[in-house]
Amino acid sequence: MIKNHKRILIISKSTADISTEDVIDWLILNGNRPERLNGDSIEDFKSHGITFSINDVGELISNTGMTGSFYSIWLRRWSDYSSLIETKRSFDNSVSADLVAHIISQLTRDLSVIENFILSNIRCVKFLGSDNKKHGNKLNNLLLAKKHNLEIPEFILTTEKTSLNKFFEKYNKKIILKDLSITFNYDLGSNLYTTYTELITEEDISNFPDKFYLSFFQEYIEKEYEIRCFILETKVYSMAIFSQIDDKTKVDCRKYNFQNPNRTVPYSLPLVIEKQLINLFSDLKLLSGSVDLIKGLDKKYYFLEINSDGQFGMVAECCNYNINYEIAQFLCS
Amino acid sequence: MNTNFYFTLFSNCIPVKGAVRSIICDLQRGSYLFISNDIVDVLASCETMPIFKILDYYRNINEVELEILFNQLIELNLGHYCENPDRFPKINTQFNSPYEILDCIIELSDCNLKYIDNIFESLTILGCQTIELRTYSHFSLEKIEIFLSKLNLTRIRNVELIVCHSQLETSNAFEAILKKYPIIETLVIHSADIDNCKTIGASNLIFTTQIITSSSCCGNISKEDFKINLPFYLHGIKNNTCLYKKISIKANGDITNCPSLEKTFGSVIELSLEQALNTTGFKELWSIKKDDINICKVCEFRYICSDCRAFLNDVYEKPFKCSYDPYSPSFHNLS
Repeated sequence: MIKNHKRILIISKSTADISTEDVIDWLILNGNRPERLNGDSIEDFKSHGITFSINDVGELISNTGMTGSFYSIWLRRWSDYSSLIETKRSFDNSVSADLVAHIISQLTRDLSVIENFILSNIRCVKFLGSDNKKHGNKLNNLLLAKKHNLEIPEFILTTEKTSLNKFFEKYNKKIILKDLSITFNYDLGSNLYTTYTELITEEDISNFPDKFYLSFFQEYIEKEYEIRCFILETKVYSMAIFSQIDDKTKVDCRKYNFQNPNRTVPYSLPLVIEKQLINLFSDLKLLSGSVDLIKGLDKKYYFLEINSDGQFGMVAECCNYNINYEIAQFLCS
Repeated sequence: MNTNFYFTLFSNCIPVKGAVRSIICDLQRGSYLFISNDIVDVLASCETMPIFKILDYYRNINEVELEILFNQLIELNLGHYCENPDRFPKINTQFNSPYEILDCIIELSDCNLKYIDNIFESLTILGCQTIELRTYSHFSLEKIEIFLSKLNLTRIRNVELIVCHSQLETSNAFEAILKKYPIIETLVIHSADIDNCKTIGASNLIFTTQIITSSSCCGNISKEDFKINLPFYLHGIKNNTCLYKKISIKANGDITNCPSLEKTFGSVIELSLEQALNTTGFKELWSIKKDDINICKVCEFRYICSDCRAFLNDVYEKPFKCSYDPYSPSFHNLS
């Protein structure tokens, strides 16, 4: 690895993020001393006094040490605003639940303006990572993937039961309903409810009203296995997930079966698919991120979605890919 | 069965051949399965030949038998039929880490307490990830806490604490320690009156009646100590799993490969751990892998065995405290 001592900034979520630590360890080995900012510390106002302002020449200044310009920045993760749950609990019962919900969503929006402001005003030569707002639109990414000649499961966005019925018949009565943004979690104290990708039955549809909110339906692909890739510049690291064997994980492999985890092994994608993915990423101006694919029983590879946050820990660990080293290399060379 | 297809084991299910029998190590699920050596040979051929060629090559196996075998392995989720085995490459065996030292064992003592800052500074420079702190006889909790309080300034991620039971400390005192230092994965209290395990948060608190009076209590090889996971396997095929990237500090401050080994490479009183590490001979035993050791090299458990390079007559001999004979193949009682 090249030895040099450039200013490197790593933006993470919290102090205990294994992937962040691993990359920092590779950098330390080569005499680099990366600076670090944790998104959680921005939120955690009780233990971190933080002030941002603008100097005479319109540069962002702060007491967080992340001023001036950096050689490279890795935006690994940011806060998930989980501290707002605490804030939510801090209201006493005299404040109506409705008002609390309003305040929390206002705070969330404000924090995300601040996040955007901070992240857009730190300067660097090389930037790795992604702004989910830019790259996280599932619908855009599906469209773009198709433009790059990747297969995608067909979908519709509709408010009409009649259109849905047509779509349902067209795809052999096998379609799924899926979140468009992030997974919806609802904590009922005793149980945590979360949305997974689910198959829709004829009975489900018959219970729908004739008109409903614009919703996203997708053709269900019978799969041989799933593929999770991590892409870094022009390298594609792939892992096959045999979720099909297990009924529990058949439609959504995130319903982990802890007794008997899905088999995860290194995979080698056809070069033409790798090329299409790399082109798709360069079109999005993304240097790194994760992609979910399906290998259908029809032997085709279907693009599902991009996770621009790019959690790569599992892929690296299961397949012994040296991704941590490669990221460190990218940041300091 | 479509005989144009291939049958392959998943790349994290690795057959290891022994003298008279073999195992498939399931490195993802941490388990193993006994199979015959003949089947290992057939499975090795399966990597490069489609099923019809296998049937052609092994004239003594008929299609029905082969299908039964494959379906059993599929049922156990160890392998699968596939059209193109090139899509499923083997796991790369290069295993690199940015740490000069992975494990450290410290025998807690007043001497080591005196040099504690130097020790932890060195461990931070070396990138040490895992530490084991031990006491063979009573050592006060206050002093143990001084060691624990230094941990958050280092890069250590896993901590195991092994202390001697004494009438002076209650179980509550140990629980309080685990609550205060969640970095401790396991706290073992030996020489206790009872055998008992409980979890405090994410940590394990283990009371054992076993008496650990010195470092000579180490080095037992048993099925219970098998480590079946990918990083361990990758280390084991290239290096010595007992001593590779390990450093130890004895109660008197002597720096050794392992507390059970006599040879010292200086003392914390006059040397830093980095200096000791770079002394001639310190890394000598690191490269002795199982495939180099007599008897171990034909043992089907060789890549999941914890090994021991301390209790033996010769460094290329199987551990003294291992009772397994791969030729019989069985565990014998040690006399």
